[in-house]
Amino acid sequence: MTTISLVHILKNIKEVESLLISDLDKTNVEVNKKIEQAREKARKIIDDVIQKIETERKEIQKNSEIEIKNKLIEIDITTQKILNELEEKAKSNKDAAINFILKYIFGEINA
Amino acid sequence: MLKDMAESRVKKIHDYIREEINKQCSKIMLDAEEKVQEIISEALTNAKSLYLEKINEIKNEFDKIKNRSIAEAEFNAKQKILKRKNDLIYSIFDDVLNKLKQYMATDAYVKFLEKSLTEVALNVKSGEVEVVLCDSDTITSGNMIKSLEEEINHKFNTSISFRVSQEKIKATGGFIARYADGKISYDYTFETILDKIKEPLRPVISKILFE
Repeated sequence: MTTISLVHILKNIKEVESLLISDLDKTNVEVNKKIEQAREKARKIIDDVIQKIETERKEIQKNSEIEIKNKLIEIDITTQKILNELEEKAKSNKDAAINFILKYIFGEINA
Repeated sequence: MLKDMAESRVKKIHDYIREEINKQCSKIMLDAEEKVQEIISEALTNAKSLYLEKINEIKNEFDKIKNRSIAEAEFNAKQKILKRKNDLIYSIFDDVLNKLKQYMATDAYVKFLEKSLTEVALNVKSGEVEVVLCDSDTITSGNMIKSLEEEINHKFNTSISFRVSQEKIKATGGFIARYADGKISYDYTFETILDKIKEPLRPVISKILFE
């Protein structure tokens, strides 16, 4: 083998080495990019879910407040109805109650 | 010739290494794809758990607030009803007091005096008892009390002497009996009687009024 041939072979090998290193570098860059994109996507997934939770929280709060408000109105209406019934009953039974106490005081009955 | 051979060998080496490198790069890319899938899959799993956990927490939090608010409102409503019931019951006792004024000049009042003085006599048994009438009493006289005294002593075998005091008490009706120089006294004024029977009679009156 001549010196020229050897030089040529070495030169070729050097070129191959450069090409290969370049290919690996490119692959690594691409891999890093893909992984970074995946991480970015993962962060976005979490951010989106946090946003979704916040939106649903507002919705749940709103529904809960409406439910409480309706229930309180219902309790108020029921209470008022009971109070009215009590007033009515007390009004119609007032004389019976007064007479009972009077009879009790005058010893006509024992409670 | 030699150069050609050398070039051919170099080419073969080159091709071999190129193929190996390509394989390696493909493997790196496949691993990377796997890693990417893993990252995304993990994020999706975490997001799902986070969502479920947080939504559950939020629902529980608002359920607690709702239950507390409703329980508080129901408690307040019950208190309001109870207060109104008590007010209505106690207002009956006020009405009774007004009504009692009408009984001052009736036989029922005389019977009340007799019954009350008998209770005093049975407690005291003997001795002088000072009877302080109320300022609104216009019919009860010393003679009437003396007559009741005789009747009670005879009926219950007591030896009580009732003395009507010159003093008058401010009350709707009834009297106060004092014994042993005022050390023991029995309050039979309508106000005191009503005060005393308010609580024991409350359930009965409640039943009469509201059932």
